Amino acid sequence: MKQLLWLAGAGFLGAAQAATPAARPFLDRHCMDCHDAEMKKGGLDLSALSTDGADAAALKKWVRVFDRVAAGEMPPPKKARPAAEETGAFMAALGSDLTAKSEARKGTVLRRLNRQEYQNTLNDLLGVRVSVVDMLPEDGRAHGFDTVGEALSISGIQMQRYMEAAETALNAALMAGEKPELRKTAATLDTGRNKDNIGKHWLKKADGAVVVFNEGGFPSTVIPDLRAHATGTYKVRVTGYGHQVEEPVVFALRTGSFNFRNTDTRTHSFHELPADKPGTVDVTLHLPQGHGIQVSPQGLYGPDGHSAVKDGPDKYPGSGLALLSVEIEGPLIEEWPPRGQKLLLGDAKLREVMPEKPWMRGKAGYKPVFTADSADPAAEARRLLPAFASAAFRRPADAAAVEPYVRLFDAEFAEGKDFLAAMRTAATAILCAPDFLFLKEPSGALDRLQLASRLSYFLTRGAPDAELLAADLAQPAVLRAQTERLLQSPALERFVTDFTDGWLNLREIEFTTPDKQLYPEYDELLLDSMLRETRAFITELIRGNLSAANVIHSDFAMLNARLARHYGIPGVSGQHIRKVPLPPESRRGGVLTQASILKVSANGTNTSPVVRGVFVMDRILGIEPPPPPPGIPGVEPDIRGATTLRELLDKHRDSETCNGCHRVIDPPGFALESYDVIGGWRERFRSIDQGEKVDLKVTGRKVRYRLGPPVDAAGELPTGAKFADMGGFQKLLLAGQDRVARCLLEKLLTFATGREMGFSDRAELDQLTAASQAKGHGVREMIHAAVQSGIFRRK
Amino acid sequence: MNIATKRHLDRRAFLRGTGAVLSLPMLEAMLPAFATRAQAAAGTPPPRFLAMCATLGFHTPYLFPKETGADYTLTPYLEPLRDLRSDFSVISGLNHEQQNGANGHTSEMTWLTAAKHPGLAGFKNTISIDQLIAERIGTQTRFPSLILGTGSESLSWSASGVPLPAESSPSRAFQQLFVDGTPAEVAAQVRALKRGRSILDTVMGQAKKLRGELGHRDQEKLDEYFSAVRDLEGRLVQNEEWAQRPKPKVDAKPPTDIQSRTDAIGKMRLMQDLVVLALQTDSTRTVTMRLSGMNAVPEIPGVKNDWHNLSHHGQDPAKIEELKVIELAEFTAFADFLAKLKQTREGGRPLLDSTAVLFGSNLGNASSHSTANLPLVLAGGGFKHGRHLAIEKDKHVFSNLFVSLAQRMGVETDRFGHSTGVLEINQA
Repeated sequence: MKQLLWLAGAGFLGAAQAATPAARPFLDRHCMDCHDAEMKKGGLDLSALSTDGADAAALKKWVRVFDRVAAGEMPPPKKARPAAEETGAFMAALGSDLTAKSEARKGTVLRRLNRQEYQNTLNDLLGVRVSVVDMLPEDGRAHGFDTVGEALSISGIQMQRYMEAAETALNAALMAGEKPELRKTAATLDTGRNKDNIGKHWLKKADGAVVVFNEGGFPSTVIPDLRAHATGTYKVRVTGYGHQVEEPVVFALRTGSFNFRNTDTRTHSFHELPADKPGTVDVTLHLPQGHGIQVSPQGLYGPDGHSAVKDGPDKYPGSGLALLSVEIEGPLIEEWPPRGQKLLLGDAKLREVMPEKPWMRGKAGYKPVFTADSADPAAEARRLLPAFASAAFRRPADAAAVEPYVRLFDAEFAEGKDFLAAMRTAATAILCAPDFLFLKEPSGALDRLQLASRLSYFLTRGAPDAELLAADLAQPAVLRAQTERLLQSPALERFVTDFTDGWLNLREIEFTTPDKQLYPEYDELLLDSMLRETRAFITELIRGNLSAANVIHSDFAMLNARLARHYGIPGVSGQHIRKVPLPPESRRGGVLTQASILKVSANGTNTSPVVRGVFVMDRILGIEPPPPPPGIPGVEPDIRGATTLRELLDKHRDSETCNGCHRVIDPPGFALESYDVIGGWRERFRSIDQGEKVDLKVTGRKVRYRLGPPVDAAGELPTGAKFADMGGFQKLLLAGQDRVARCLLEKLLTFATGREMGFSDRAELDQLTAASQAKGHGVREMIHAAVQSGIFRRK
Repeated sequence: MNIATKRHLDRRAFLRGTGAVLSLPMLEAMLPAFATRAQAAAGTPPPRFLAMCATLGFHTPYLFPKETGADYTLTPYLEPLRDLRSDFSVISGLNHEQQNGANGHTSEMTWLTAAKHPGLAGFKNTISIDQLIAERIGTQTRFPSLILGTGSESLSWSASGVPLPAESSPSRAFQQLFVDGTPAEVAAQVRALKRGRSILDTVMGQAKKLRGELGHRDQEKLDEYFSAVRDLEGRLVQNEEWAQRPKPKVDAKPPTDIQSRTDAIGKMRLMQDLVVLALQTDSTRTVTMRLSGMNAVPEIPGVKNDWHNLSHHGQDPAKIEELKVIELAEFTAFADFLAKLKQTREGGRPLLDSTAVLFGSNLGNASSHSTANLPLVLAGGGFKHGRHLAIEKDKHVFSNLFVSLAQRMGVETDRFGHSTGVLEINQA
């Protein structure tokens, strides 16, 4: 009946007038019944949907129209099927229109360095190691990444912070007189300060070791009289063993100023000491001046009702860590004076400015102030500033380009500031200039300098070095060689961390804390280990050029003892991460079964198949699920244990409005139901009051959770293919692994170029995926292919 | 509502006119419109605005009274406010529209902006109400606004949709507000500010050059940089003037920051005390405070579980009862704060009368992440209070309240966010 109205209604607003002419007949015939101004099924009104290429939101909707028709999802199954040629013609018409519009809008929007890139760049340029990331506001994100130009904004307050950050870094480089001497210091817990603790909380043994029975808190396990006398890299050696334990004892190595505020304490890493005889742990780490070391044992416990204080440390039967000594050696300095000092002072000599009151100089925490004079300040500034600006701007800066900064120097100097102060002002301006803060990329093909910057920020997260800037990156062979060089550099670690932070959302891993009652086995070591696992796994894929299919399922995992215990895998000892082969029927392998992914896609109490399903769709399969229609409240989970979320979600199956999207979204989430919020395997849900009691102890305490309803991990893909569990789901995914490879390529290119992949990029992405498939989807090769692509080499 | 007209001299015009050096002290003629000597004598203090958001929600069955109007029974969360009954109104039935966003908590980004779909693709936030107010009247005080929070994030967003960081250290804020530098320090400060302006002049010139080399979309992005530099420049100029003006004297000791990460109520109270001082000394007239929940156990007697966990109670009655302890503590602190504002006099009148305080949350139900029917309490500001205002469905949106609050602060506008009208409290 509706159709008649359309045909007859000359007075009506044209059916799909908004759409491009060639696409209209198809839309009129097959879409307008449901998607006109009146019906607006699913909230979509095609008659009003703008075709303006500049309207990003509308363009996105048209792409979705295209995709749903291409997938055969629309018109919906119960409606008349259009003829194949008709659909083909429509797709061609709409497709070429969308390609043209996407092409016209395409291009990275002027991309600011994000705060991590900024910090890396600043530190590398000046040869210092200051922490300025937290001084800057959090960066905006798009598509999960904080490298997307369009989403990176800048405010007045941020400009102020940039000025402050630049000053901090410049001071670190300039206010440094003598090269700090290398010192070796050893210390134990047996000092005057701890006299009262020994014999009361701690035990002193015949071999001189002090046994600590507390994990943290009181008494403090910060090593007394052990501080970095100057900022730099230090070798740390911890010697000790486990006391009254059967397994090696784990400890966290923490650094910080350990002042009364305790705001800068950082956990560096976790280590083990042997159960029976003394062992040593060697770590190299960075320490700011004045920072110290804390050795914090993990997982210690004793019988209920006992404690070291109650029983006396010599009689207490619980476990402890016997610490013999902690030594530090450093700072180990690679370059002196710092690079920034050489760049900005040239031959000018530093001399210390004595404080007004000379006694202040002896006080702890006093920061010496320096000045420097030059024989010919104006000439020196003109000699040094172009080199500094070139290094900062990542391209040659001649006298003309640097003139405004030289004038700034002159003005400061004229006002009576010394050479160092005037240079510092000019340098601050250079570090706040748009040429420093932004990656300047014109439209079209990038020249070799712009490519150098883009490549460097992609794989090392910092500015291009001299070799990269000198390379003729327009030559594919040279580009490949340089890419290979960067892949082998230690800075690749920065890439893996930043890329997985965005791709797999690992940045949010601590967004929720697992409920202590439900997950008593969760500890800091597990959190630390699960992050290392995923980063090591991706690094291994790159290192070995292993197939992207390993993201779905792999015959190995990167584990340490803590993870192996968590996953139920025997034979792994020590807390360092190493490659472990997995048996064929293992429940682990691939990225999706890793604890970090399972935690970050859940909250602290329960898992949601929808949230995990969206995670898999978006990040692994490269399908962006549309947001829920407006006005739909979330489903409130019931953790009393009465119903599972899956049962509550059964509504999705019945409602047509919900079903369309949820038959695609939910299935991966169902497969992952076999893994709990911290990535442990489960066959029953844990609940707080209802269900079967569990006879199990964790760190000496009985668990208080109960076992509720059984897990149902079966599901059905939109294609109709069924799976009974995660293993079955993985097999189905492997059959369609090209899609996973394509998704990874897309994520890499979004991260690298700082822009969204659009409709007009699809053709090239298809080619890249096909070429990658021919090479077995090796991830290292994929990165090379991404760098060689037109997408990467153009704005 | 009175919309004040600017009767004072425009400072920039004055300075341009005289060609004077910027180190002149503020002349009487330049005292702000709302507080000229004459007006102060007549007893008309300037209006103030304060917004506080508790990001983990409030369990509304314990807040909203069953009855509407003036004769309502106090609910558990309103019990601490029983002595201040005529100084506040409970408002139910308001929300922003289309707040489903990137995750269940992103609505805290838009509580003061009303922008839609926070965090989803293509999202760009808009200016928050406090910054809009600060833009219009901020130059009248040493600090155009005070952005506070118990964490590093704030409720406030700039005009270009950029998030503004929060000050989370009351001791640092106190320092900035009330502690004068020595003459040498002041001189050094002025020199440093002038140096800052020279740096900005230099980079601005470079940005202008760069702009000419860019395509249209990149130019738009660079314009953000221009705005940022200009904004900072303006602030440096202002700061230079203020640097030479002595700071107000307060009869209070500098606060000591709370070390414990989990003493949320302690932090809230300390911050509120600071706000009283800031408003009392007219250091600022618009304040926001983000009261962050946490993924940890807050230090409140009787609370043993993670706060975030409790707020997502999943209808577990034990969790709801424990959550109540936390939220009641928040409301108790709030009540004490209002009492303090009421006791503090200004020209014979309670400070509370000139200060509109909006207290609530971006979540109507934290357990289901619902942003409908937001918990809101409006206090002070000279409004007619003592009622439970239940706004009928579809009659008003939350933005409508912001329009009237902005107008009261001297912003000449009849729209804010996605307002569909104006919600006048006195006439509702």
